[in-house]
Amino acid sequence: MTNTHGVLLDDGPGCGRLQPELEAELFDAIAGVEPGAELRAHLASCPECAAEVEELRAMARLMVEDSVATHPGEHFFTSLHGHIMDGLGEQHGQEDELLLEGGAEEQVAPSPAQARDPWAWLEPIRAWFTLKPTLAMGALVAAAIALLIVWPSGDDPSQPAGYEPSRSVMPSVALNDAEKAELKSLAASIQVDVTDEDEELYAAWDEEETSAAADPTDDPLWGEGVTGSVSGLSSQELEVVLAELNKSL
Amino acid sequence: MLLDVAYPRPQSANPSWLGGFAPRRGATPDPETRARQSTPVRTSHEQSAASRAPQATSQEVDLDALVTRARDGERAAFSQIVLTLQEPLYGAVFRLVRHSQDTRDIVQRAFIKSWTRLPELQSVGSFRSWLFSIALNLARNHLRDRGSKRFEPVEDTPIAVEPTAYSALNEREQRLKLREALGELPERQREVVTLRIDTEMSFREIGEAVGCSEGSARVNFHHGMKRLREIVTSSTAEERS
Repeated sequence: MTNTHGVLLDDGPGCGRLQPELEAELFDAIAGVEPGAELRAHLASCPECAAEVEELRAMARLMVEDSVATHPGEHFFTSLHGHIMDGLGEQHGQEDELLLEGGAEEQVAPSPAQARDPWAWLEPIRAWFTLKPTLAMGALVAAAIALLIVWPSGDDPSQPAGYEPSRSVMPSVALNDAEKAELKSLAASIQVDVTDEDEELYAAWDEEETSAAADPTDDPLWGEGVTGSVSGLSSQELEVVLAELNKSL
Repeated sequence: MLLDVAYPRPQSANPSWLGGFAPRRGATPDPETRARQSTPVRTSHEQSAASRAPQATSQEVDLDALVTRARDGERAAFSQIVLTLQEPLYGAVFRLVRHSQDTRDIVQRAFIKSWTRLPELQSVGSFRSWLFSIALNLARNHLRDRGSKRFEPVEDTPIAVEPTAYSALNEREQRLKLREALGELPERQREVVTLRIDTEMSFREIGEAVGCSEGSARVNFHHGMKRLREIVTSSTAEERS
């Protein structure tokens, strides 16, 4: 019997006057569990309940006998146990092969450990390369070019240890002709400035600079870029800078 | 008594999955002794049942401890779990699928799946109902793929003793009627009846396995058993008339 919402309703076992606890016990008794004293007393005094329990227990007994008749035997379960344990071994073997060879994931359901793979986010990218290889390769090349443009070159031996150049002094690998010409003119102007100045003045200034700033990184102009003022550099440092510029151009 | 079940019983290997109704070798089965014979496996969910059941025997398996060890990756513990539960699981699935090879496959897959997903199990005490729910899902999918929930003819294991021709015929006819009647039950009722009769599971565990409350499992069991009785009775009455 169901109600209007399709939920199964119970019309109550037996006489319908059983307490909920006894009712639950009655279901167990139908399934073959020994009834308690209270239920036994009720069954002794209620022919309706006793008849229902007896009839339904007979049905349950018939089911059990059917199970006996179809029981496959002990040897069957010995074999089944072996197959199950072998199946666990194969499962692990397949997982090991996957770890060694990669791929063939579809053969085995992923274990919880595999499901928590930290590289799982790469799966969509791999699928993208499989489905649209040309488009994916184009995107990859574009990304590589962009990376080369903004990526800093190797360590500069002229810089002090631990010095990290600011973004503005990161040399780019590709300079167009206009940029090269600008740099050349800048270098030429610096060279002219240096040769035109009074050597004595520079010598005194160099001594002062050497005593005041033994560590070049203390110089506030460090990191400001070569395109800025070079007046804070010593003549030796300027020569090094110019030599480097000429070498690169 | 509605059904005559007092005929000589077949004698079998006395499988543990038959509970208290299991006929014993060389003796007429006595349902009143079920309480002395039942519950070889006990979980933490069976406190209420344990109050009416006898004390644990030395052979009783502590399933919770085995599951805990298996969850830590101990394969020997899982092997023990398989030995303990494969028969009741096979019995329940076979009742639903009615094909020995298919049942064997489903049971094997259910155990392997439970091993693989054991770390996901929240409560160790729920392992048995969880395992049965996995097996029931596989059985349902199998029946759905097969396109029919009707039972197929099933081959009986040869019985060890030879009962009289009349009793054997009577017994076989009644069993066939029962199988047909089970096939006519709604899926939920069939599963609940099967799990309650063929396994040692409590109604709470059955509810967890089939996805309903303990009370609903009881109600489904009661309705299923009554429906079985009606079908078998009417079938018998038709034949007599």
